[in-house]
Amino acid sequence: MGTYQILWVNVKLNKFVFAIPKKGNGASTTLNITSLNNPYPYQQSLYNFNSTNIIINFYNNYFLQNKQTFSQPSFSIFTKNPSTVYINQNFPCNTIDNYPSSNTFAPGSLNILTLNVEFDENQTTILARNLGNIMITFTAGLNFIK
Amino acid sequence: MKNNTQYLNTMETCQPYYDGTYWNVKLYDVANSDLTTGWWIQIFATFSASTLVYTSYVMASNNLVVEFQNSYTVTLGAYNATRTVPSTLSWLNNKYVPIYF
Repeated sequence: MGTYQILWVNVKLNKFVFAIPKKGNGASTTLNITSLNNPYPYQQSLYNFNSTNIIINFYNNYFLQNKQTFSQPSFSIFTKNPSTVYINQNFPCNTIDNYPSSNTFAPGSLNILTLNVEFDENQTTILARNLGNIMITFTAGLNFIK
Repeated sequence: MKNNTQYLNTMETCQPYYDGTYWNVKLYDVANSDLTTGWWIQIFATFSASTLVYTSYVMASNNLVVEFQNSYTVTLGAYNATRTVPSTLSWLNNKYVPIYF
């Protein structure tokens, strides 16, 4: 966009108006929009709210000549990254704490399960992604949490 | 919940709840905590099988969009299905209880 004269910009409305030199019939104009970033998952509602379309109006002497709509992909096209927050299964604490270790416990008896949640992501990135909550759902083998 | 050397108030940052089908443990506000290498979560629970299955979800704090998800199947080596929990608790021997005559 830097090679074209910017006439008007409103970032709140996401509107950009710029002049391009006159060209002959059939001569194309290339418009590159750079520095685009994919949305983080927490920005899903914002992405959908702002509409997934880019509308370009073409004017000549202030008269609308043409209008084209370009659709961005739906948010569902984005896939999850490999998880950088996980429960480390190799860490010895991820089991029942029973002392001495040779003891066994009975079904229905209260025991302490220790889980080790690890982060392979620095705090700056976690804050950028707005990651705030971790939920662990037990789907089998556990009766009750006290 | 423990971050290396510091224990946190469990009822503020780590809460268990039952959703009608499964038991869950939820950790709140982890991004704003003193995050270093991870967390230890200790759960006081009863178990029904030697195979424990659970899924972890990492979600944004604003609208619960799941960003990361992992599933685990863990064998509880100490689980012994043949053992039983005593059905009744024995009472204290009264002669050792002060002020009892």
